[in-house]
Amino acid sequence: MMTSKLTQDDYEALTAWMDGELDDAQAETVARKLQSDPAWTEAHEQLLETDSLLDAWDAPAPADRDALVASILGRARPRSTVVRIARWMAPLSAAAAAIILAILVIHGYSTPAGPSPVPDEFVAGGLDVFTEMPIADSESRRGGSIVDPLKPSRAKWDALDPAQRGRARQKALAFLKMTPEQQSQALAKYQENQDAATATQGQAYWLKVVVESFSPDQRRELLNMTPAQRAKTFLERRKQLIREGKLAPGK
Amino acid sequence: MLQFQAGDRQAFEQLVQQNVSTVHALVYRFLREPSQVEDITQEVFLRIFRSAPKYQPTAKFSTWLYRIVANLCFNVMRSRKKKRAVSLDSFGDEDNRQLLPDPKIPAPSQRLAKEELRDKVAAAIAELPKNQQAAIILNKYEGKNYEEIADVLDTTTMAVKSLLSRARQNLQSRLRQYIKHG
Repeated sequence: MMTSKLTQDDYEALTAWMDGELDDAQAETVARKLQSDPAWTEAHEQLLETDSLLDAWDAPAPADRDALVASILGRARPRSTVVRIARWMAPLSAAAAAIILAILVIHGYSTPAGPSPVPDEFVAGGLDVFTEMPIADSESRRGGSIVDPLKPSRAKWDALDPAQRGRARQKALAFLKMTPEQQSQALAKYQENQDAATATQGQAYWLKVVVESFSPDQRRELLNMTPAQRAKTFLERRKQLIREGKLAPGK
Repeated sequence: MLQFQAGDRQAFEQLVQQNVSTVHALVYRFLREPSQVEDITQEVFLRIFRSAPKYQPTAKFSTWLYRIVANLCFNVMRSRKKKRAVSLDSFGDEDNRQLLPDPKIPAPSQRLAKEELRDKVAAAIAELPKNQQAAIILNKYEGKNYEEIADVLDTTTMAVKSLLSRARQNLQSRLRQYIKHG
């Protein structure tokens, strides 16, 4: 009886034989070796034992299969416009991506002061994707660079410190991970707050101009007035300033 | 899958119901991290949902499904490896601790608890190179033949033959203490 140490090819033949992956002639050769060579027999026994040890590793079932299925079905819906735009932007250059990312987040750091601040910086970014992309797209069709119309935001992005950029990126990603419904709600909330902030900002502007138009003595008189009298005086002065062309009507 | 591709939303639900346990088990075997298994399982089906318009029935659906699972799990494994590489104290790592012999635990015996053996087997498989790992998981636990494994891993049947042979030898070496004929 001949004994030989198995080569790598022998091991491959043996394991393939065990898996039923050899053709008849090759299988016959392995079967003969197993009968005639103790080294082959021993290798076979060890591989069989190893294989049986692997049976000890069982995989647990999902803790709550129905909940898992429900969660998958709940999340499985077509991508929102924002996500599709973001995916569409993926092949753009790193520079373009950086600028677009800036647009996605920048307004969070230039939110106007007022009683209704934008609650989530990135929500603003989501809206900007909608408002900026058509511009970029039309520029692109005219032969211009898609990046050009977005450049003003690049300066703002560059002005952010690394920590602000990190937070901005996190918020951008958080928005992209929202479901389309959550994104819609967030955008609606942003629009609502943005309108309120714009209105407040306009009011603050004309009040500032009106107050500055009074002399120090007039301002002291204003302090002694009732709120109703003060409001009436302010409105009359506002009309006067508009007539004189010192205040724009829309302000 | 073709029904779902044609717009039948019910078909997608059926597809999830039929495959969720298999995918969950497969992801578990690749990642072994319970906190990640459900997330990745969901991600697999979301990928299927989103890729449906591009799906072409050139291969079996299960092959396509397994390929998605393997790719996603490989990504997670790669990012884990990167995180581990930046750790200054990798021996404090949970995974590595599991692989090192604990001097307080008595030497393994024939009466080794099944749970302990299960952990050792899982750790031994996790130590394999990723393609060997995938090949052994698909072959041993999913019953896939060499041709199917080759399709999932985008390689040849000859390469799978070699991967499986080396994987078994590596496992035999790592589990030697539990093999009578070793």
